[in-house]
Amino acid sequence: MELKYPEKPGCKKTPHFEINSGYKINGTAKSWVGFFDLVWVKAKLNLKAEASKNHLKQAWWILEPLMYMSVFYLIFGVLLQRGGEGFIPFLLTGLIPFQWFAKSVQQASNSIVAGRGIIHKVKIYPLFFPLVAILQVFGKQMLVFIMLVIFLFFFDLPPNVYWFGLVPVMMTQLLLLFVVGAAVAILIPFVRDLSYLVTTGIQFTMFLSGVFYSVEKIPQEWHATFFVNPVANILFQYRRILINQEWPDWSMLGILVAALFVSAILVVLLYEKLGPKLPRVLV
Amino acid sequence: MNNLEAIISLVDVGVCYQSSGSFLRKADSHTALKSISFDLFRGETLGVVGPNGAGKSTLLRLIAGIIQPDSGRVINRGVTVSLLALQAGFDLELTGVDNAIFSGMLLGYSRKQVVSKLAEIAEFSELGDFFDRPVKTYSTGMRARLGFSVAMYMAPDVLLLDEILSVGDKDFKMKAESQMMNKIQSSQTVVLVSHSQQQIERVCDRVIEL
Repeated sequence: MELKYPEKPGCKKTPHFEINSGYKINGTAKSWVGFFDLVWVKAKLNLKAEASKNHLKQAWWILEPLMYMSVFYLIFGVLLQRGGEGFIPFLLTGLIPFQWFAKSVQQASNSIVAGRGIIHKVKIYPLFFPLVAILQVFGKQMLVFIMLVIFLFFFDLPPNVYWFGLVPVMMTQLLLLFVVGAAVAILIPFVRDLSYLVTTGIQFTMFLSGVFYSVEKIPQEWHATFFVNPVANILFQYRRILINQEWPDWSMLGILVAALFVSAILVVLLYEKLGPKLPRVLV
Repeated sequence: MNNLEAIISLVDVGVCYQSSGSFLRKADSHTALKSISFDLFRGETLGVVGPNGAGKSTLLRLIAGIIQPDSGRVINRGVTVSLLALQAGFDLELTGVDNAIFSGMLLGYSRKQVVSKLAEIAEFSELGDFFDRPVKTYSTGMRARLGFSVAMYMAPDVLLLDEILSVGDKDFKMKAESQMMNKIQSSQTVVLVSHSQQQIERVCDRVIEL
């Protein structure tokens, strides 16, 4: 390499632009505020873009889950005559939170690969991509939860004081979505084969989480193992609140939150380690 | 050089690309950059020349912080630096305004800072009413004009240029070129990669040959 220093006496220097410095995540509060604002703006814009693509716009955010739930109701409630009375609220209180899980993981899993155009152009903390996906799905799923409230009202399960328990349960679910969504998103660029397993994995989780059956249906000795699955634990908590009208099982929820916190730290460490390698593996 | 405040330093930097292997094929590697050391001073225009495959674009990506070196260090003394990324993060379904906001934020500005520049971006890009319409309704030239205007008004402390780009139709091309030259000759710190030795000699304070 050769460095030349040509004399350039005529180089005119006229300041034209005010040079601002924006965010880059470097640990300062300002940079974190900038980062989360970027996530927030992108999630909002994605929802706007998504709605603008079709004629019925935002109505699809309700119609699509409604159709999906009708299919399950038809098969399990009508054709197979499963569950008997009270099966519909039981099914809905499992399916709606599960759908939230499934959609978030699905959308987050491909988010880093889909964001490679940005990764190659600007320096960006890759956690940006799964966070946008999770927030975007969260926005849509809140509408579905409102719909669930209306349904439950018609099934004689109106809101009551125990519903305050939904706040910690939903926060725990958000933490779970972050852990699973972000972990899968950062691993897929390195092991592309994983993307084939995401859909199957979600299906597998659905059948293992008691969406269609209650925990009492499985033998007692399997209960502990059944609840190792965090989704099963969370669905159980939703049903305690919405159907049984009791507070969540705090000890079960506490253990899950602790495990998720540790996992979340591991996921962040994974991003520290693998993040800088992304521009080289995403071609 | 009168101004010798080094804002970015490369110390003995090397980059080696590795192609991913599989069960049947062993991964192979090639060295893109080897033992590069130099300082980038505030306000200067540094040219980078070299044949194809010499690692010019890799060098820009290193300075931008997009990739990390395999050996040596890249020291950034607190400046924002980015490639001139035209249409970075554009979503065709969204309006020009929305795209300008997100693209500007992606380049390191706060939402407020981008919003305060929107009027100038709209004027420079000559999009008129189209600025409020979805980018999918734009012609290729209009998209390029929007991308260029955002990049020009949302410049970082250190601007990295992979060739002096000119975009849009004939009139806009001239305007874009003159704007770019203004920027290069202003107090903006620029690293410019170009195939044209002549162009580099015309605009740069110093030149690196890879």
